[in-house]
Amino acid sequence: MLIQESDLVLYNLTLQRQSNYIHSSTGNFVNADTLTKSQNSLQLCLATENHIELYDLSKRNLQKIGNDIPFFAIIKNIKTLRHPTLDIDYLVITSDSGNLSILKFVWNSDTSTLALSPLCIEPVARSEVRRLSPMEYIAVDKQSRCLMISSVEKFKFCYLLNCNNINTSNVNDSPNNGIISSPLEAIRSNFITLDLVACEMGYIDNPCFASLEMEITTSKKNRNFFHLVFYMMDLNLNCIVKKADYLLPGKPNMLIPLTDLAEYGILTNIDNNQYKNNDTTNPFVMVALEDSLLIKDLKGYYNIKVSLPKCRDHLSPAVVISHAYRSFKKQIFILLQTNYGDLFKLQIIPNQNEGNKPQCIINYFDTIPVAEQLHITTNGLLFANSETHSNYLFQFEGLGSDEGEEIFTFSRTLQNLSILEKKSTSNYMTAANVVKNSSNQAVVPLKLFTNTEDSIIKSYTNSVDVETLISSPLPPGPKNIWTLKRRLDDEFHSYVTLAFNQYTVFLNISGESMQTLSFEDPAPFVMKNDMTIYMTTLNPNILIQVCSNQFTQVATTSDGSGFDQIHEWFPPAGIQIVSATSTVSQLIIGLSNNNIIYFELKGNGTTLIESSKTLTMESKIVKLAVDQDKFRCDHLVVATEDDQLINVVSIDTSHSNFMEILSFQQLNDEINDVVMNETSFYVGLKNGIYVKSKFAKKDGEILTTNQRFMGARPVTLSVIYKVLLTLQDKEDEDDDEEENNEKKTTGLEEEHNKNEFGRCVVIHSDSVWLDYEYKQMEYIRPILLFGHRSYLNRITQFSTSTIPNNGMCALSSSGALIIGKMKNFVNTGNWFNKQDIKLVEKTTNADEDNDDDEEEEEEEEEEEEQIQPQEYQNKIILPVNDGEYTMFIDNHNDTSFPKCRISILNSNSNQIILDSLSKTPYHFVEGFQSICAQIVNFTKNKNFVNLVISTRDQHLLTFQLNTETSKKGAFYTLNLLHKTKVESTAFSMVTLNNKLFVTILNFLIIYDLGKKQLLKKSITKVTSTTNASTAIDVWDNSRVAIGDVHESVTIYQYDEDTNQFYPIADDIVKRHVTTLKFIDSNTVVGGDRFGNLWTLRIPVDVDESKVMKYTASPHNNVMEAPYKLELKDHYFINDIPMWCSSVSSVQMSDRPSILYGGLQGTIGILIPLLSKLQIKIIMKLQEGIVNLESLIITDRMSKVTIYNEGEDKEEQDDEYNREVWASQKSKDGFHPEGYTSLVDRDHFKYRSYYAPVKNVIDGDLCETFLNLSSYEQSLICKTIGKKTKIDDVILLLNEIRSNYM
Amino acid sequence: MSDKQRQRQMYANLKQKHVGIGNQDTSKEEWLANVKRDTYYSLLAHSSLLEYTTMARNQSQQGPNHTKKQMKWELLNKMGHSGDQQ
Repeated sequence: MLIQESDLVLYNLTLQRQSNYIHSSTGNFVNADTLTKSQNSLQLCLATENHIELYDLSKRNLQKIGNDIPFFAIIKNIKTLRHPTLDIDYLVITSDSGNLSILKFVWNSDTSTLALSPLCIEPVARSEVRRLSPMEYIAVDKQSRCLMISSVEKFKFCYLLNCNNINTSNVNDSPNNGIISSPLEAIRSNFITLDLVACEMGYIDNPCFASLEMEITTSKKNRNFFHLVFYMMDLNLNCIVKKADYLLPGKPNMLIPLTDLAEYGILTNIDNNQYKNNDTTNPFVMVALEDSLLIKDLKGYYNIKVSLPKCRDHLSPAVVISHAYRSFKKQIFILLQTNYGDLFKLQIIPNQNEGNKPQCIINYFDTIPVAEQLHITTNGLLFANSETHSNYLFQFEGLGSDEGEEIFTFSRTLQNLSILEKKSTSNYMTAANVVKNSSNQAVVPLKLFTNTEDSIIKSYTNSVDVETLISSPLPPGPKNIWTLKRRLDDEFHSYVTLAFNQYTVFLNISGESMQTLSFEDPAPFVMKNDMTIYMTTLNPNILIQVCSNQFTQVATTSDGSGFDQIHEWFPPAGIQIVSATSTVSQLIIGLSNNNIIYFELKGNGTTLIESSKTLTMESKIVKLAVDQDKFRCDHLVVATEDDQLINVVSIDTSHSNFMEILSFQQLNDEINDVVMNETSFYVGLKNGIYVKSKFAKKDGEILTTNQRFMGARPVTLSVIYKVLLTLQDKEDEDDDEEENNEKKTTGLEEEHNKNEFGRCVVIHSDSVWLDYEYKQMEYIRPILLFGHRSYLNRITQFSTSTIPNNGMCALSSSGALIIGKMKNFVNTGNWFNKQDIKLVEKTTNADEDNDDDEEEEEEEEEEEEQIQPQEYQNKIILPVNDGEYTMFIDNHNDTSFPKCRISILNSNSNQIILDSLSKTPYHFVEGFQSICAQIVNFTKNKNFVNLVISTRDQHLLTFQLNTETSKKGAFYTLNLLHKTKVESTAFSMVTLNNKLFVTILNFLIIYDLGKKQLLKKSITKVTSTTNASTAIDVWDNSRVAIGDVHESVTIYQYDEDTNQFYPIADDIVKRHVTTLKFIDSNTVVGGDRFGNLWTLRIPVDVDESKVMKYTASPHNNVMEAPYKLELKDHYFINDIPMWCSSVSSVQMSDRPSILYGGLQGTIGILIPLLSKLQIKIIMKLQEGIVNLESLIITDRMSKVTIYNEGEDKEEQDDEYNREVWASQKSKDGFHPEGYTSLVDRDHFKYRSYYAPVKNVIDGDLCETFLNLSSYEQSLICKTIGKKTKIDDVILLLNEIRSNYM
Repeated sequence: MSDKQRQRQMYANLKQKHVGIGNQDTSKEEWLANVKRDTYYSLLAHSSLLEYTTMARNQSQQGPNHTKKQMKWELLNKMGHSGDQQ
C-alpha cells in the first residue's frame, strides 16, 4: 500500500475489551486434571460479540482461566456440544463469517495460555449479519447426534454430528471434516423465527427441535399468528419432518425446553398409558406469554396455562425473559426471570388426583438484576449473566416455599440466594473523563473515570499500585538503603542498612518489628565519618560494606546474633572508592583514579582474593554494574563520565580477555546510573532519558538499544530481582487472613507458576516507573503510591514472613522509610487497574452525617448482601476547574418522574466532595432529566464557575458552582441561578470564549450569563442539511465542528468581529455522529452509531476571508460550504464510540494519541505512526498475520517438492522444518484452516464492516504475533523483509506499548 | 422467448435464496418491506445497536424500562409487521 505524506496512519489498540456478554455457556471445556487438581471440573464460557473468556466454577468462585480469546469477527451465538462418550465439551459458534465452527479449548499449562483450535469450519451462508443467514439460533441435541441452526427468516439447517471422528489425542490436531454432515434444510417462507430450542429426547428417540415462529402479515388488519412447530430429525430416513404445528394464543416470546417429564412419574402419553415404556418420548416445551406460561407437548395432549404471580408494584405485564433449570432425581427445578428481575421457582409434579397429569407450582424466589442468561451449575451455583452492569455468582441458601402463590411482594434483600462473587463489567459506558496532567503531580498515570453502575464510580489507572504498609520518619538526609540477608540462602531479609552523609544506621528485622542494631565496641562495620556507598551479602554469610575510604568484610555467626570482622581493605592513599558492585561470589570496585579492582571468593574460602590484573579507564568512573543475582557474572558494565560511554568489560577469569573492554556504547548525555540484568544493561542519563540495551553473551557486542524519556530529573535506577507479576488485590486479601498465615504463604508460592515471577528495573525520575517483562511483552509503567503525595527516592527489595512476595523498602522524598507492597501489575490482558469508588448511598437518617457512620453503614449494607437497584444511570461526566475535579450527572431511570443528581470527585485523590447543604455526595435536581451539560466560566473568575444543564423539557438550567476545602473536608455548593426556556432541546453544548455555545434547532447560539436568564449573544443559521447536532467541539475558540445525528460533520469558522459563524467544510457521506473531537485545526476524529471511528480533514489551507465571503448556491444541499471534508481514516471497532479524548502525551509518551470508549465498555487508543519505514513494517506484519494460511500452504508446497526430490535431507533438521514434516506425516494431512481466524472471517472485511478500513492498523491483530509458534513467526518475518528477525518484530510491538503510550 | 423464460426461471431461483432481490415488477411496498426488515434485523442482531436502541428508548419514553430481550422481541415483531401498507 502506498503511503502518502498527508496520510494520518493510526495504530489501534484495544486497551479494554467490551464486556457486554451476550452469550454464555457452561461445560467441561478444558480437562480438569490439566488445570486444577479438583475432580469436579466445571467451566463457564462468556462471550461478547468479539471475544471469548473462560472461567472455572469448580472452586465455587469465578476463576478466570488464561487469557481472553479475541475473534476479529462478530460472534452470533455459542452453544456447548457435549462429546457423547468422553467427558469433554466443545463450543459451537456461528458468526458473521457465514461459517459454523466447532472449536475446542486448548490449555497450555507451561505458558498458562488458553487457545481455541478449530475442529471444523463449515460454510453455511454468506458472510455478514443477515436476516436470512442461519446464524441467529443454535440448538444442539442433548445426545450430540445433530444440531440445528436457524435464521430469523426462512431457513433452518440441521447437521448430523459424528463426534467420534474428533481426534482428541493430539493438541495440534488438524481440523477433521468427518464430524459434520451436509445440511438438511427446513425452509419456511414468510415466517419469522422467534426462538429455537432442542427438546430433551432419549437415545432411542429421534432428535427433536421446537421453534416459535411468527407468520408475516402483509396487511394491518390481520394479526400475527404465532406457531409452535416441532421438527423431528428422522435418523433412519435422514430427513427433517415437521411433526407438529400448533397455533398459539397471545403474544409468545420465547421457548423453554423441559426434560422428559415421564421420568418424574408424570403421565406424558395419554392414549397408551400401559405401554409407556415402549413408546417414544413426548417432549414438552414452555412458551412464555405475557403474565403467564403455556406448557405444550409434541403430541398435543396438553395445553396447561400457568399464571405468573402478580406484584402490585408492577404496572405493566410481566414477561419471562430468561430461565435456568436443573433436574434432580425426584423433581425438576426451574427458575424463571421476568423483565422486572423477579425470579420464580417453577415445579412440575404429577397430579395424583388426576392420573398423574402434570401440575405446576410457581413461587416467588428472589429479585436479581435482569439477566441475559441464567445458569444453574452442577455444584449448585447460579450464575446470572446480567444484561447490563455486573454479573453475579450466587449460592442457593434455600429453595423457597413449595406452595403456589398468586400475589407476591418483592424484596430487595436476597432471601434464597447469597452472592458469592460479583463480576463487575464496564458494559453501558456512556461517558468518561480522562484526567489531564495537573500542576501538583509530575506525571499523572493514565487515569479515567466512568460511572457505569449506580453509586459506584470506576477509576481506571494504568500503573502499578504500591500499597504502603509501614511509613516511619527518619533522621534528615538519608542517601541510600539496602536490605540484607543474614545468610544468602535465607528466605527473608534480616537487616536494613541506611546510609547518611557521614554515618550509617543498621536496623534489625525481627518478625514484624524493626529495631536499630547496636554493636559492641569496636563495631564490625564502619559507622561514622564515612559514607556507605554499597552493601551486599556474599556467599554464604559474608556481609560487605563499601565506604568511600575502605571496605569491610564481616561474617555473621551461625546463630545470627553476632558479627565477626574478617578483613578490611583500603585503597591507596588519596584515592577514594567511587562505585562498587557484586555478584554472589565476586566484588568489583571502581576507584577515583579510574582503576577497577576485581575480588573473588575462591572455593569455600571466606576471604576475598584480589586479582592482580586491574583495568584503568580513560575517563572518570561513574558507576559499575553486574547482574547481582547471579553466582558469577562474565560481564561488567562500566559507565564513564567525560566520554559518556558504557563499556562492557569481560570479567571471565578463565578467559584470556579478562579485564578487557569488549565493546562500548556512546550515549548522548552524561550518565547518571547504570544497572545490569542478565544480558541487558539499563542506563539512566542526566537529561532524563532511560536507555535499555542488550548485548551478546558471547562477545559483548551491543545488539539492540531502546530509549524513553522519563522526566526532567536525572534518572536513577535499581533492580528488584524477584517480583510476582500476577499479584492482585484478591490474593492480598487472602494473605490478610490471620489463620495459618505461614502455611498459606508457603503454599502460595508453590501455587504460582514460575513464569509469573520476573525481574523489574525501578526507574526514578520525576516519578517512579517500573520496567518489567511479562509473557514476552516489556512494560514501562509508573508506580502509583496510595495515599501519598511524596515520591520514592530509593527502592529496594524486601521480604519477610508477612510479605513473602513483592515487598519493597523505600526512602520517600519526605524523608520517611516506607515499607510497601507492589501489586496489580498491568499487562496487555489487563491494562487498567480498576478501582471502585463508592459514593455513599443516601442515608436514611439525615441526622447521621458523620463520615464514620456512613462508612459503617456501607459495610453493613455489604454484609446484608443487597443488590443495589439501578435507580440512576450516568449521563454526563465533566471535568471541573481544568480537570481538578470530575463531575458526574446521573438521570433517574424512571422517566415518568424526571430527576437528576450531581456528584463531584477530586480527580487526583479520588476523594468524594460532599454537597455543603445536605452533607451527602449528591445534589438532586428534581423535575428535570439532563441531556447534556457544560461547565462555563462566564465571569472568568476561577472561584465562581457556572454549570449549565440542558434538560429534556427544553430548558437550560444555570447553576453557580463553588468548591471549598476546609478542615472538615471538601464541599461544593450548587445554587440554581435561573432557568432559560429554549425553543427546542439542546443535545450538545461547549464553551466558546467563556460563553456557552449551543445548537438549538437550526441555529448556532452563543449565550452569556444574564441576571434572570441566559442571554443570546449571537445567532447564526446552520446549513440546511443539519438536523440535530449530537456532538460539538471547539478548536482554539475559532473553529467549531458540529456533528449531526445523521448528517456527519460540518466545520464552522467563528469570526469575533461580526460575531457570526461561517461554514468552512462539510462531508459527502452521511455519518450518524455520536462523538467528535478536534485533533488539530483542520482535523476531527469522531465515531458513529454503527461502531466506526473516523478522522476527517479539511484538505486545503483555508483562506478565512474567502470563507466569509462565500455564499451558498440558492439551491438547497448543493455546496453549502466552500470545502468538502476528506476522509483520512476509517475503522470498525464493533462498539459504539461514546467519547473520545485527545491526549497530548499519555504517561510521558513521545506523541499525542486519541483515547476512545465504547458503549459496551471498550476502551481503546489510536496512536499515530510517524515514520514511513515503521508504517511499512507494521502494515506488512498485519498482512502477514492475515495471510498466514496461504503462507503456510506455499511454504509447505515448496518443502514437499524438495522432499519428493529427495535433495538435502540432512539439511532439513532445523526446528521449523521438523514441525512441518511432523504435521505432514499426520494422517489427515495439514490443514492450516482457522489459523488467522477461528471462524474463518476475512480480517479486512471485518474491519471494513460498513466502509473500507483506511489507514488504521489493527494492533490487536499485530499483537497476536506473540502467540504464534516460531515457525509461523519466521514465515511472517520473511514477508516483512529478508533480514527481519522475530526479535525485531517483538521489539517493535514492545516499543509501541512502552514508548508510544 | 425461451431466453425470457430462462431469465424468469433464474430470477425465481435467485429469489428463493435471496429474498431481498427485485426486478422491474417489484412493488414499492415489497421493496420497502425488505428494507425495513433488514433494518430491524440489523438493530436487533448487533449487540451494540440493540443496547443503544434500548437505552435511547428507555430514556425518551415514560414508564418502566424495557430490557434488551423485550426490545429484541419488539423488533422481531416489527419485522413480521413490516409488510404493512403505508
